[in-house]
Amino acid sequence: MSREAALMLAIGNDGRQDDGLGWAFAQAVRAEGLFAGEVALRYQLQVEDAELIKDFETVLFVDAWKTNEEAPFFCAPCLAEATTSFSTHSLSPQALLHLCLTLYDAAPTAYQLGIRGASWELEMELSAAGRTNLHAALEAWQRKSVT
Amino acid sequence: MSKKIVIDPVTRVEGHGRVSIHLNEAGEVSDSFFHIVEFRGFERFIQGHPYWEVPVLVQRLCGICPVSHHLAAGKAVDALSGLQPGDLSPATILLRRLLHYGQIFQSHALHFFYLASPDLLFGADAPPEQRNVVAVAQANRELARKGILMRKYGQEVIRALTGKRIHGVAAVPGGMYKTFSPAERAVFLQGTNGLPGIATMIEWARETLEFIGQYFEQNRIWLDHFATYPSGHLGLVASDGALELYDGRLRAVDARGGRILDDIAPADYQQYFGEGVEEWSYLKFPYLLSLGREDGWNRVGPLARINACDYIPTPLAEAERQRMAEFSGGLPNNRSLYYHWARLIELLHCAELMQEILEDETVLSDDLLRKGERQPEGVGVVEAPRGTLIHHYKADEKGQVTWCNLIVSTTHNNEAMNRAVREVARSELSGHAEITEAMLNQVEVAIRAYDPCLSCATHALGQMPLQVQLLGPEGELLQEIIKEGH
Repeated sequence: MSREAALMLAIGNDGRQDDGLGWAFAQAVRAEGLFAGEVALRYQLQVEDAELIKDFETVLFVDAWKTNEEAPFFCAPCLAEATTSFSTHSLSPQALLHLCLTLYDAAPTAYQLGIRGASWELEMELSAAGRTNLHAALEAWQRKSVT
Repeated sequence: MSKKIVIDPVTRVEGHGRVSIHLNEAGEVSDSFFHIVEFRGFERFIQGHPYWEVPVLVQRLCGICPVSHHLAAGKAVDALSGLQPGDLSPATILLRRLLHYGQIFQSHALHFFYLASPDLLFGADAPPEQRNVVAVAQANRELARKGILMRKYGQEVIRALTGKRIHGVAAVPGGMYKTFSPAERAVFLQGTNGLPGIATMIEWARETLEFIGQYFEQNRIWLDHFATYPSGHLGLVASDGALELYDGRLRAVDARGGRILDDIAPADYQQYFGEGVEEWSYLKFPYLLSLGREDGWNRVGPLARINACDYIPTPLAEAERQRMAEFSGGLPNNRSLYYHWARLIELLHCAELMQEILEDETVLSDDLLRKGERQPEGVGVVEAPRGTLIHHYKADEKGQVTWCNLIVSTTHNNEAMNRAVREVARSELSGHAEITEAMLNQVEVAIRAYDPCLSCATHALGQMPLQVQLLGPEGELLQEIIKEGH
């Protein structure tokens, strides 16, 4: 993916341990100069983020991944999908892309990076397993095997 | 056989709640409850912290209205610092008001465009897949786009003044943390590429009011009778009776407009209010001591404020207030769905107020701090988007908080929301052989009118879904709808 005209939209909460993995990844790549595009942090995706992403060619959603699988992370294309959660002021990446298309006729190329978390308690620190998975994702990013 | 219905979770509200509806042998609604099942602990764990940290800590109560908690706590901390609202510098007063109005503006826009508009555009009995903001975007693209930018405007005001859209820092004891630059002011006055200026916000607020006015004209029978019941109405007013959102005196009127509380200093609230508890909810039930637990409850929030005040001190919003008042013959409006209209009148009022402040050169002054003599106790009251918000703290000689009491807007509306559920359950569900999802959504429509913030009201942590349960005469579960939250 082109890292020009790109947006990294990191979702999570660093007060809930590994829920902060998305933010930690975005902050690390920004601090180390590994991402040339814009970075934005969100507790959750909201309707107005459709207005934000409409202006980017490429959008990467980064979030913690709650799963029973063993892979430290996944990265996959993210496609617009007409799904809505009940509260509707909090949206999935797929629903946000759909809303962006509906409202602005804009369809950025999008990817989803999920980093596997292990613990979600009220603490500021990532868990040891979360840190390990974060490092794995960062190494892959540096090798450009996450593209 | 009697039955019990549970709506769990209630949707498109902020937080986790549950509705249970009890049916008797004849299938009629015999009772109903709106349970708030989140637990809160802020009042306890704030103890021991330095009082000057409080405005930053307590805003974590909520991700939707943190500014309201920040400012109410800021006012209380001013009082602990020996300063009353009028003692602050003119620039600080203007900046705090600008922040407050930006917060109400974005919160009201969020509620109307994202949460309430599906009920109004498609009807309470529309299919569930249509009752969301994406369907609104498909049906009325311009409305949705304007709604997004109006919410963004308020959020950007917050970011300019606090550094972040959520959980920033603005109020410090006796002042504000940072000044407001001419460049920042220009953005909000004139707009930028991605954000229209304040004149456009006023224009769009008026357009939205035109839409809602026509909607109320066309749907008046439903709107006048749905979840309608008498109550008291509580809010802050200025010394001349004008609507006041940031700093005024407490006033409550009864269902016919009689004054039951007037010209009360917010710091004296404990002389007038008690807080009841029920075993089936973590949410408290505030009431006026003079009227007692059963009769002393009040509605709060946009409709209550407009009922309690004599007039709105900005011309466009005042004209809209008068237009809405015609629908209730000039008397207080006791119809729940009129909250939507009142909320939009306040949206316009806040836009007008922001324009006034942005055009005032004082807002650019760097004279922001005042100092006073430490006091052992402080109360701060503001009108948050959802209603009267009370923060009360005591601190010891070291400055550590020793006691805290919070009466949050949604708490005042606790009894009102329970009555709304009861009214709608009886009118919509009683006597039907089958209870449909559309019928249950009517209950949610009634709750949503109040824009409850359940996470705020209980300071909850974790996932927050909402559910509805239908229960039989023996308490057996007959039907349940659960919508998972996030």
